[in-house]
Amino acid sequence: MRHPRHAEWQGTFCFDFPVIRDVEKPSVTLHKNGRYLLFKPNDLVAADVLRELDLRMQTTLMRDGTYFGVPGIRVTDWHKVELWKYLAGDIATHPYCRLLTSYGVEVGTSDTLKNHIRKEYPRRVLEATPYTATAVQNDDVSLFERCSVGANLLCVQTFVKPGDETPTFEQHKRYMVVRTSGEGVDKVGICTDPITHKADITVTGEHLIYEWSALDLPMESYFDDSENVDFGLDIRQKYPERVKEMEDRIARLPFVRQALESGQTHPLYEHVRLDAAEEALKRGVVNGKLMRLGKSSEAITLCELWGSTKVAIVGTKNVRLSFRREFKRLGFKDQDFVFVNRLADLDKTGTYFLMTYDWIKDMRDPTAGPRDRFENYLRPVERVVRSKGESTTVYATNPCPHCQEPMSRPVLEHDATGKHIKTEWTTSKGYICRNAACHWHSDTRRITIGDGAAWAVTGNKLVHHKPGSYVDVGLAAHATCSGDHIKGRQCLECGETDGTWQPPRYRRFKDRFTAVVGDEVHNAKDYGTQNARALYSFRSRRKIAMTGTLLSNSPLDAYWPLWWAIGGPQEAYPYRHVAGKKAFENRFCDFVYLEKPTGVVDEETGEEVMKTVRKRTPFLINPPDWWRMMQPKIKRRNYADPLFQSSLVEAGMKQPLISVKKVACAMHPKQVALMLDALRDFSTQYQAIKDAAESNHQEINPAMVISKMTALRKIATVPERLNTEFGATVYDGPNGGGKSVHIKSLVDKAVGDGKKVLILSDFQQMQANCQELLARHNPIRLMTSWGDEKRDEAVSLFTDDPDRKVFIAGTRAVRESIDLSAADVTICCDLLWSPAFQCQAWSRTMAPTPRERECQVYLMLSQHSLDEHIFTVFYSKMVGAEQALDRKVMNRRAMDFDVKFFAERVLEEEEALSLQLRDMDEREMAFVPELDLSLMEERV
Amino acid sequence: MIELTGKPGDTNCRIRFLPRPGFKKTHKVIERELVYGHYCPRCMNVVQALLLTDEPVDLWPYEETNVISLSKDEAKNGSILKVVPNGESKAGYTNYTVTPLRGAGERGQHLVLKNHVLKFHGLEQAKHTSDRYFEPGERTCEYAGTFALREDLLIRDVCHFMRLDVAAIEAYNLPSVEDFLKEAVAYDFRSLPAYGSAPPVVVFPRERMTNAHGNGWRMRHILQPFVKPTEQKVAA
Repeated sequence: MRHPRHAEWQGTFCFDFPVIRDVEKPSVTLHKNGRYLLFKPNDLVAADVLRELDLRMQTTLMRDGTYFGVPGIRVTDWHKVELWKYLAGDIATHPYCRLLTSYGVEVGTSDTLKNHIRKEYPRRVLEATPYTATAVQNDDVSLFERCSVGANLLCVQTFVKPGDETPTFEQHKRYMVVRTSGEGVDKVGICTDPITHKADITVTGEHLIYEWSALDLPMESYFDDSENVDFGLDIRQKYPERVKEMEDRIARLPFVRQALESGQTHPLYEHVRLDAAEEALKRGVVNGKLMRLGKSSEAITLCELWGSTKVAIVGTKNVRLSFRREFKRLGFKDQDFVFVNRLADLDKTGTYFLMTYDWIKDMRDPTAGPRDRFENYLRPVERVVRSKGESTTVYATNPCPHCQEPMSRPVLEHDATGKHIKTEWTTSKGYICRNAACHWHSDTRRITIGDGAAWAVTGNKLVHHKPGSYVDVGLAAHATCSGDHIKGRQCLECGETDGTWQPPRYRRFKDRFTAVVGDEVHNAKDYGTQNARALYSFRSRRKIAMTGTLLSNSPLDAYWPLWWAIGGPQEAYPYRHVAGKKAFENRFCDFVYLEKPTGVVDEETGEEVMKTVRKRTPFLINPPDWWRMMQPKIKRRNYADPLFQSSLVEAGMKQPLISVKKVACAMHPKQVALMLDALRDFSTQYQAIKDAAESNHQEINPAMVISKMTALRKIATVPERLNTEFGATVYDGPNGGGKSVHIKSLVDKAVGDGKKVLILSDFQQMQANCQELLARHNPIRLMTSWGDEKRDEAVSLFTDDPDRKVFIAGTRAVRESIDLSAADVTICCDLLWSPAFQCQAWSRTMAPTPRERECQVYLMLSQHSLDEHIFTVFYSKMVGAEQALDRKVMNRRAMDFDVKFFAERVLEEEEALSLQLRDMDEREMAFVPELDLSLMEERV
Repeated sequence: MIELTGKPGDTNCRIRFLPRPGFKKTHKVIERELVYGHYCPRCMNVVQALLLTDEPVDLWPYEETNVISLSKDEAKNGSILKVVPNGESKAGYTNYTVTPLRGAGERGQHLVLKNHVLKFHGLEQAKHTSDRYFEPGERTCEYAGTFALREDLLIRDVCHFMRLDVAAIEAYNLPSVEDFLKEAVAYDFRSLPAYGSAPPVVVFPRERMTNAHGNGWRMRHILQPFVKPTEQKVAA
């Protein structure tokens, strides 16, 4: 790429760089020092001034510019000045520049820094330019009902308040909703001052608010909220030529040209083509489109547009398969993409390297144990052993790694000149384990005496060992060394190294790629996890983060994917690492404040002291602020998007009609009895947890409570599982409890109608039950232990074979990147705690297809059981995500998740269950042995 | 011994490092060009110096800092109590804060005698009861002071050390050092003129920083002639 000449830069910026005008005066030049700004003195006097200023900055008093006669500035950073803060404007605005000027020191800018800013400033402006906004699809409620605080309304018709002459709201201006409550009658408070771009919702003065009541005229006549935020000029409006150039390049891509020349339809959806042209202008892309909206093809297109020569695609096992299908569909050759299963695969020729999270995060270090025990076989007699409880230091030899007996160096014989002439052993020459009973195999498995050869070597690895022979080939080579030149874990004489640290796998190749695609990046939403550590360690110029469920619990879920893909801190994303997370949370996440008892009684009033607890909810604190910030970063479309719909028409595909139905299954009487007992047991345990928490003045730990609910979940779906877990018959009703009957009838009906059925359950037992129950339909059951090929084969079989109509799988096993659109009916036997994962799993069937169809999702919920409560929590979380990503304005009808409230609601079911049992006239109570629910682990 | 050559106000002064006893055979006399320096006639030490030098000068073989007595006894007061470093000092001990400085084409070294020129971090504290103004090391002289490269900041710094707050200082048109000393010399304020080109170091008795009261009152007296004129209220 040709770099612009200096003359071309003239007048392109709204600011000038500081220049040294008087060379006679002492001066400081601003330099780029990595990501920091460096004040470099040009002479000794300037250096002395910087020294004095540094001393003065130690007091808060002197950080104020007024002290130096330079009012209006305050120094906040001076040791490590982060450069990104000064890219967007005049770099001389750093307070130090003005302080230096007040000392008579001239300030200049180095060429390196100038060039950096010249290059970086326009790029940052481009990065901060919003993508073209997608149309907002609101629910079918009136504008008055869906108005919420922060909503941005465009006035479509001038409104004059009755009795006034001047218009209250003028046509074509935007107004913001500032409150939505009222006394007696519902009212929507709208600020009468028109808002400008980047306006906040803070309004001063009641006289500026006009309250629109439910009794007034319909708001639709005067306002439009179809675009509820003013994002300013979008990337297409600001950079039309560059977007056009990208679109032309898409048309020239080999796979596009090839498809069009052969008379096929365009291989990319229309919305993918438009979005990719915009995204390709940026370096970091967060693709938040819903499932089956062409994210994979968009990522491949982007990498092709960027001209990336080596691309890492990281995802789950299914992601790799889905990408392979996509590559084949687009006409890529087999050698263009590589399935990476070992490090040697990275040396293969190819552009795209597909790897899994599990593979990259591997951090097995074979010598970690010996290092922890301070074992160093290069220096066996120098190991220091401290006996327990005593401070005495004992020197001992290293033990044999197999029998733990002490080893010794061989006896060497030297001639008069000191030359080594003979060792105790002739061929092996190594450290010797003299234990006559020590026999072992290479993988430490014991072998019997007299098995095969005394010793055998494969490469440099010993596979058989005989008493009295050497332990290791490397150590044998080290046997003749003096032992005086050992540095750390390496002998400098023979080069042998013992117990060296082996870094995690991702560290060895994190810098190899020019672009990295993180698919299903919600798997790495928490930086503390190994998945996140591995993915976020990749350093490449261009990154793509993809997920349809960016926000599964709260807006905070987006923090780490954004941090990695966008690359902070920068003006548009001023957050750095862990410290930035808190600032991000405070800016966007909404909280509820709960009054909780502390268990302490106030002596004076006799009342229990309450404490205020802050709890994060799934909602945004200021939706317009979030939308404005995310518009340049996240590209999001949902199924209702008009462009997606038209893309489908162009591609000859049809979006299925989706209906989600809740099936309330009455539990079997024996299941009810078991549930009742489990509830009572849970009640005792919950009370204990609650008491313990209150006595310690702490909150109830949700993780503890939820883990105790595992039994309730199991009983609601697979009560017979308890028999195997307790080794006794605690349930002798039908397998699958009350749900089995409904599942069977639903499947029979669907198959009878010629439809294919996907059955999802998070319990292996339930999957097995369904397999047995539906044996006559010859179901396919996906096993998580299957490799890539077998999975692919099973999916193909289900898709292509008209006789295989039922597919059974684990909810989490198929939640990503599997196309099961052959199925029209999905039956969810149980619900996950995470709504996002559950939704992802059932969306596998909802891909657009050439045929018209209706996708039905049945949620099997046991009546009066935990299932129903999970469903309630489920709903509230889904609402939050829609608000954040699809810019839906909504009222807070959904319930926030509070573990105490949740547990108590579950316990209330005890009464309902007792009544149900009584109505069923089932007097016989199931016998439940002493349950230790903490030992029951949830099946994966 | 460290000494300054030339006279205060001269622009071509130099600094000379003479080896102390025990190092005279192994170390030569070093002489360097001085940018500025200050000498205290009370304790007879170089208080501060900025010199041009390619390699930083190690002070261990040269430093002979006098520590003077603050005894109430007239015979002892002002006499040299000890010279540091001495036989009891740890190897490498120095009573100077040494900062190597580097410009684009020149290198230098800044020396400042600890506790003779005060650092500013002591101003941060809310209470004025401790000796937080002082650093670890000898307190060589009965005078301590402040220095600023900008002369107009010097008197402001002195006011802050004398415990006037920002609002109180705003009431005065702060004078030049010369005008200030005309009034303040009676209150035991002194200045150490610079060798080379730099503002002076303004010094005052060190005990005022720790156990004396009425500093603010004293400063108000000194600054009385420099009070900003205020508009008189005219009765209706």
